[in-house]
Amino acid sequence: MRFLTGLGIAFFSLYLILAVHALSVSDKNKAKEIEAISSHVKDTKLSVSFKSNEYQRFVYAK
Amino acid sequence: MSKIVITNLNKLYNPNKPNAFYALKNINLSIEEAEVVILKGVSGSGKSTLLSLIGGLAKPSSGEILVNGQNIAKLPDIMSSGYRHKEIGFIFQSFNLLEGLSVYQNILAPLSLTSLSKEAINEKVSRAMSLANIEHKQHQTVGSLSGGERQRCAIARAVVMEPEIILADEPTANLDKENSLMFIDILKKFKALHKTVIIATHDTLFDDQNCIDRYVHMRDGEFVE
Amino acid sequence: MRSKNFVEYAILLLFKDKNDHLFSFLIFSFIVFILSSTLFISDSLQEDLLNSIKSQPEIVVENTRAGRAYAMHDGFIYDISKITGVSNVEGIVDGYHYFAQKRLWFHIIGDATLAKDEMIIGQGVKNAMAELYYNEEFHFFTEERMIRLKINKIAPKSTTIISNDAVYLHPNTARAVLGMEMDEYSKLYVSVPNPNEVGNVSLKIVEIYPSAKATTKEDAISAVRHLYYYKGGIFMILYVIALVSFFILLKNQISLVYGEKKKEIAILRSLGFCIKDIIALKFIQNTVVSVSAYLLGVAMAYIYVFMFNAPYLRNIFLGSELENSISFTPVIDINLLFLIFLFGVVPFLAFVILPAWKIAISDMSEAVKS
Repeated sequence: MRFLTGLGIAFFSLYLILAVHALSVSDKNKAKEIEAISSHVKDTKLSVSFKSNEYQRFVYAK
Repeated sequence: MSKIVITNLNKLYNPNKPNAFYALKNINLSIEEAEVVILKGVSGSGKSTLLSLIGGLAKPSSGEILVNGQNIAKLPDIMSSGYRHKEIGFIFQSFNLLEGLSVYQNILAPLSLTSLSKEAINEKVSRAMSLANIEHKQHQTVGSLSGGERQRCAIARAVVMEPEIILADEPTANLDKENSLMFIDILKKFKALHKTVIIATHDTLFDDQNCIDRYVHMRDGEFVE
Repeated sequence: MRSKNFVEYAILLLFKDKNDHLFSFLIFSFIVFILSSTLFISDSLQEDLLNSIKSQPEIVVENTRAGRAYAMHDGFIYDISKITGVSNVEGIVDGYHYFAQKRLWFHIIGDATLAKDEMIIGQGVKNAMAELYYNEEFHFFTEERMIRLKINKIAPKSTTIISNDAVYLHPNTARAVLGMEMDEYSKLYVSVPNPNEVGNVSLKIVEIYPSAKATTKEDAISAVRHLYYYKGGIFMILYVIALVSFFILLKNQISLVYGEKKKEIAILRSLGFCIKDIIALKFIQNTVVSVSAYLLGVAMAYIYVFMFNAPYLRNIFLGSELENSISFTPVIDINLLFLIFLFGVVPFLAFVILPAWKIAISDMSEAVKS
């Protein structure tokens, strides 16, 4: 039981830290800045830099 | 009423097959409470099979085995397991210990099915180890024990639930003379505790022992005089 | 309800076979880690991309010739603006400039809000230029001449997902860099106020110009949502890795009840464990292993993606020619995580419990004699 209790506490603590991290990361700024750029460059695309087009097509199966 | 009453017991292996054979044929036996009985016979005489059936490890092809008035031959799994757990202490020829666990942890196995407190469990295990004279090895893993020590661990595990019936299958087959005599000492302790004991053996060491009440001879699955 | 003693004994037996269970634990954690990391990265990128396509025009027109992108001229704008339902057509400049010294392509984007010689560059472009000491200004080499431009601004780090490889220039400057004529356009933005007419308008555009491609806003949104579907080669490989690992895991799980373990089950049965007890034992042991492995896999994936920004794995998604300092915003899809749990833990348990049950119901008297 000691093992299970310890395991439970360990995971609880770990997930608590992750939850605090997730809540503290503010993405409002990020969303605003992305929207700002894309308001005058309307047709935005994912910025990728693959060695060749063939590799990009392989990854995204276009 | 007798402790164990066996009536017309038969065990057929490989039924409906060309190699079908009767391990037990029409066995009738009565064993009283606190009686110590030796089943004597060579390999293949059916004594281990009889022990397995009394111990609820297998079911007979036909016949009755009454223990405390209850027919254990027809019990469903849960009740049959309960019977093995509380009424029977089985000491196997190859000991059947859980390798990788210590002596204490092996003896603990039957107690894991109970709701006893830690203190009560410790007390029962201590008592069992004391009876089997294996206390000094309780924290050692069974893999590092000698043959005699492994058997004493198996004995402690068999008695930890304080069963009324002890069954031993060829208990001295894998032991030297010294350890075999130690087993006889433990047998005397069983007798003093009024346990019903049935031992299947062909070891002549058990001949002419005062603690033994009866000898039953078997051959080819039947009793012989 | 099993007693505390039973659960403790189950854990004791678990540690007795810790090597076997550790193997299962590690493989399962790895599988969950891979799947969760892929999920986290793709969800995070999709969330950002969906923010970026809010201003997407209703229709984007691109022209092709012999399968390659081809510029359009004012005539296109005139013809398309005449289509019923179209309120406005805007031509823009967009293309790629080859930075020969580093063998990289820069995405040149015309931005009418910029001044004639103003230039904004993305983070990746900045780093690439800086490596060749282009810190204050950059030289574009075209067929005709060299164009010198001062680096005015760097695009905010948070916009890396769309700006990393981008160079934003005034449209005329962009034309000069790309070697286009002053009246040429790479793309046309078509505004269609009535959403019900978008489909008709795009069909009409293609009727007029059969070699043109008309992409609607819906298509663009759909493309973002389907960016990481299994059809992608890389995702196929990742899922195959996960699947192969899973089969190795299942094989290991089965072995947890055969061989020596078969005798162990028989011994426990002989001591009074009923069939339900054996199943409960295996269930408890393997639930502890599988649930811990799952929780660890997801946690490690979270830390890897959202705290360390997924080194190496992000290069698979985004390419590594240009240094990419994207940071992933935590986006958690509970539904998919639950699916991973369901399709992971259930087979994990089944592949142990079913064989254990089969062994538990078999004749124990022979097994304990051997």
